[in-house]
Amino acid sequence: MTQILLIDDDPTTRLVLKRALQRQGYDIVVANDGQQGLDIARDAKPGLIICDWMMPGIDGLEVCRQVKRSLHLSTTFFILLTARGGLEDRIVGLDTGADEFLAKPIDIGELQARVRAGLRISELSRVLQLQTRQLREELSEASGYVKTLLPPPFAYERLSVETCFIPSAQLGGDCYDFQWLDDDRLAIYLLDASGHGVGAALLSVSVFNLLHARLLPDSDFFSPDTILKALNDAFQSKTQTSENTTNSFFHEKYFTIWYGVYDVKTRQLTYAGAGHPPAQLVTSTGGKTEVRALGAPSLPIGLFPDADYQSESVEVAPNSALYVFSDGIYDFLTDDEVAWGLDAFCKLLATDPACRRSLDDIVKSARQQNRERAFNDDLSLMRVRFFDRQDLS
Amino acid sequence: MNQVVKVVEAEGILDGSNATQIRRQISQCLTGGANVILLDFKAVTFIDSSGLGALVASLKTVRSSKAQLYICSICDQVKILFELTSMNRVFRVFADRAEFEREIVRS
Repeated sequence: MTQILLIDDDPTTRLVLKRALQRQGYDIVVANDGQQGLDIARDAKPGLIICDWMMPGIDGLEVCRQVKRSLHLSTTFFILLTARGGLEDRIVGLDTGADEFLAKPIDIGELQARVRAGLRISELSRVLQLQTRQLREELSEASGYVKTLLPPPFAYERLSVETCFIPSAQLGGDCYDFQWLDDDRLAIYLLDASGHGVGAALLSVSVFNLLHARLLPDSDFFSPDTILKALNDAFQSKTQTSENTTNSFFHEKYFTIWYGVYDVKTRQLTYAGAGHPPAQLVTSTGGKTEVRALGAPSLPIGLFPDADYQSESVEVAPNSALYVFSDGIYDFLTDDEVAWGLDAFCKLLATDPACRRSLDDIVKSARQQNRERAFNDDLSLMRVRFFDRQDLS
Repeated sequence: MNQVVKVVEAEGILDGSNATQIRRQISQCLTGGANVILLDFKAVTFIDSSGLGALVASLKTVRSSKAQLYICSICDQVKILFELTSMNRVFRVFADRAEFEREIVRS
């Protein structure tokens, strides 16, 4: 049962109010001064506090301030008893966090009505807090699940893959994977579902599962354009007409993806993108650094049924590095209120021709450009480093 | 057929939440009898992925009503986003309102 804490230095008022509320069946605890009131409040966590304003020592206003500042008590409904009827006093009280005032001398009928109203609000706040916590726990569980899907970094004598994944809220729409299609060919992909939160994560995970299990009909996993085409057939977002249907999950949802297949024998990288930022291939030869964008402009997956995708190929020079990423790493506003941009990010990559900087360090440099000093969008960054072929058999 | 032109203006960051407002305004234009709608993005500083999704949904709504949707005055961020996602081939984008009026509006 919800407890009510009554704080008043005057024994008569205490007695009268306590009796009146007990008659209504409430569980009442009393305190004789501000300090005792605060101690009891922290201990008992009452649903409602009635507190006299004018008290020696810690006065009602200070009790109110400390209660509202406390993490566990901030939603407690707080009624200040006051003989001071002035508007300015009420404003000070409200600004301190008081929820209600009762003027002395106290009308018992009004007191009981205010307490009923206060307890209703207090109960709503409690339920809201509880539900928010449950929701947060569930999001964190879902986010933990997404993370278990993502492959750990990997390295052997021919190449290495490093990854960095930062979901914006707790749950994001980014996903990436790399897997060997046969002895020589490695598929690498990274996708970014529109929006954030549960919807984006579910879309992202369902695409991931299809690709990871290679369950996409009418496609050749060695041929990026057929993958994108098949995905676009499978994930058409419903628009307008979906108002008449009960399932509007795909309403306005789409994703962008970069998909590449690298053949370690031929050093050929075949790739295609769908509305995704082009991957960047950093090659350094003879003191000259080249950053090459891989991926032509194209439509995202799910927006238009007749979208067309093309595969392209490039021969990867030894000691190159390929960066695949979602737009979260560059698409944000800087202190100047303009977007930082893909070009700026590519310039940042070019400053490290040997690609020795850690991904965390690159992300940190990007974050410093963001006016929020944090990322508001999901962000993932993958780096594939291709080593010298001398050790190839 | 008579040309009925309506302009919808937006400002700030176009994301999931305020894109809904634009969609509503576009629907109102259509019910109000407009058959040419211009989205003036002069004051838009940023469009995110949800905002882009809402724009495409709006375009489909407009087209299904046999009307036309145009966009003008986009900032660099939007320009790059439109290029990467090929939206510059889906939407007809004008440099500014004057160019739209010259090209589209029949006097």
